[in-house]
Amino acid sequence: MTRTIFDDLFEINREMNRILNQGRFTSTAAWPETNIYESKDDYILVSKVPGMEKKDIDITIRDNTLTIAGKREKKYADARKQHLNERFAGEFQRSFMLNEKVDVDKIKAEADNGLLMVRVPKSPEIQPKKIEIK
Amino acid sequence: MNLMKKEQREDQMESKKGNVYRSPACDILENDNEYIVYFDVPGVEKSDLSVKVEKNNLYLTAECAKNPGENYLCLRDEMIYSGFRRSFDLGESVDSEKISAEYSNGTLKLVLPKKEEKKTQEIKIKVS
Repeated sequence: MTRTIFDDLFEINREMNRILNQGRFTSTAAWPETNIYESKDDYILVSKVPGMEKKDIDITIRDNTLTIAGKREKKYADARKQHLNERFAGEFQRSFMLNEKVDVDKIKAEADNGLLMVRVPKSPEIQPKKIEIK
Repeated sequence: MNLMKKEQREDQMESKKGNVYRSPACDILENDNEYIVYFDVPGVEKSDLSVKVEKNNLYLTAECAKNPGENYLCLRDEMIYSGFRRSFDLGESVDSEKISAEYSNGTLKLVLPKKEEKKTQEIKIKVS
């Protein structure tokens, strides 16, 4: 995973929010919290996308950069009064640069109970090959 | 229903996975006839959700059942697979027998109807 200055800035922002808000409503962030896991054969991205339908989420890959974009609308037309407003509404977009070459055709994504899981297999070209000594 | 003032947070409670419970983000709306409460509880199965009403207090408890990243190396760790817990004081105005819940895509929607005598009533003015 390549880290940029924006990753560090985001981390600082998140840490400040955590300290100032005492770790409470952190899931109201303007972009979804995402975990990235790596194994020998693939990457897995897990994002929190509660209350979003499949059609609201867009996943694209270009130049080894995976982008998750989407929007959530809150339709509270019949409400006379709003007491609490903590859930995020609006559009978001996040990009993740993946270190190793990936197999673009075999990426699979599924959404279940508000968690989005994207499985990105690594390209077979990057698997190490053993070279025989003659 | 005084939702804002007597809200309780039990941040220090331990969930089943040994993590601290977190408060889910929440929206509360009010109509003439009912209160509508939305909770964001991503990653929770329907069977792991529990909503209880006890002595005019509403308790929500949810546990994250699975961690998708087991046996993997973690490159970026932003979210915690903990449980969720939050409670509100409903006061006298909610009819706790008629509460209905609906869960889809990680969002729990609760509809809390008001008691008949607490509903907003319009008073007609007679013209004499």
